[in-house]
Amino acid sequence: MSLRDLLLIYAVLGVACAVAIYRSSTESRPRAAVAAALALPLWPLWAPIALTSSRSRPAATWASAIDPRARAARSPVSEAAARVEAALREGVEACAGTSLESLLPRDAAARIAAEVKRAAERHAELTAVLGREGFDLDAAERRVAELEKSRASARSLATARLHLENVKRLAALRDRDARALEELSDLVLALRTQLTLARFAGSSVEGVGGIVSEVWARVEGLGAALGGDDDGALDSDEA
Amino acid sequence: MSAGVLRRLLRSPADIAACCREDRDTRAIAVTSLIAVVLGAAAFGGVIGSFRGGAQIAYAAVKIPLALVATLAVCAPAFHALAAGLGRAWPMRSIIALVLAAAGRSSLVLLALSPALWLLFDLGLDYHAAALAAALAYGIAGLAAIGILIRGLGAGSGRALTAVAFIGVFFAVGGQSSWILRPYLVRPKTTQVPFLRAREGGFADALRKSGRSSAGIYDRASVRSIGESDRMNSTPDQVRAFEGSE
Repeated sequence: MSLRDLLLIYAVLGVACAVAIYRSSTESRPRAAVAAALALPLWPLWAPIALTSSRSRPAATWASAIDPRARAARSPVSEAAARVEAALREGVEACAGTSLESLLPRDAAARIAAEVKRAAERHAELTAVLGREGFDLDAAERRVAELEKSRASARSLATARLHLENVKRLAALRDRDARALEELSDLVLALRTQLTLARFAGSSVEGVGGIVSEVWARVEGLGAALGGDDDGALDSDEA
Repeated sequence: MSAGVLRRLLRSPADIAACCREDRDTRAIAVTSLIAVVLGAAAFGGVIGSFRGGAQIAYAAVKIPLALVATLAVCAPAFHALAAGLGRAWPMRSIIALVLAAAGRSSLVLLALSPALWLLFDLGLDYHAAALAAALAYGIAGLAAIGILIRGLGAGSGRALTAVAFIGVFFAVGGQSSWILRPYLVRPKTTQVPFLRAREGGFADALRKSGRSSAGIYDRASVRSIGESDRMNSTPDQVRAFEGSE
């Protein structure tokens, strides 16, 4: 076998990997095209990553990655985000090339995945922040109780109550993100099932359309939460 | 390319190694490391090529990252099989992310050492000293890579054996890849610089010949194998010393 034969086989395998990566990608078309193009020269290294990275756990922030407490706390939400991404990919594959494709186009799936990723990252940051010293809810409540008991000055008490209120709001935001992601995960799993059923049963898109609308409503809700005024309070010095 | 991953690659290799081992964030690590490999090795190659100058700067800037990426591409399946056989049956993406992270960190070290090497060349380092300085830079970069590799393999039995197996495979494949793509460091007096030298056996042959030369046993065929232009520009002592040095 000559060098030319080897190069030809390498190129054919590269093209096959590029096609597989492009078709399986849930990212937007330009990003999917870049990922596919990268596989042409580098498929032995890139194809296993690009084709299976959705099974990998999602990206961690710098803060949460180095904090074992945060790492442990973010796992269920990270898993939910990974389930959403995998279900979206399967949903896109299920309706590709059918009349259902307009219901869940690749670009829309990419936008949903991006919102979910942002929400998961925010949840991880919030968890990391709340795991740090000075952000403990119990400690803040104890501090207020102690000040009340010792009849501290009104100013000290007001400061302690403000701190407690802020910690409570941060915890509420974290819990709300977790609930939203869990609910969205269930909904996207149902959407995937519905799309698969509609494809194989050849049924109409009526049932699917309802779930798609619901998914979009939840995603917009997530986006609104992420773009809210509370973001200013979530800056982490490590993130 | 993720600035966060790049920062962790430099400042917290243990964290990157843990991410690869625990199958977290592997895509971002792989992409960033791949870019670091290409850019870092290309910059180092450019400096190596600058010893002669001209087209050799571009040649070496292309060939050094090419040799490294080709080596990793050939080695990755072997690493996966070795790790699985020695008790670490991880996903392929984890192994690839780990070796890319190791190579990426070593390439960043090469990038950091490039200005110093360039300065030494500019101060008039001779050919053999230049080769030695480049080899030293490679050695330092290799230590940085081994740091990530060892941490990435994690605790547990067979870690040292797995690391030695990885390094052995990498040296064998990397040596041959580099040998095929030479020359990198070329004497300034050389008039014609080919992109690739004519095929002259393999890396193992070169090692054997170098070993014999170091023992004072000179093989006439090995002297003949040196390129015509090099012989024209070298003294007999230089020709002997040149064996296997590129």
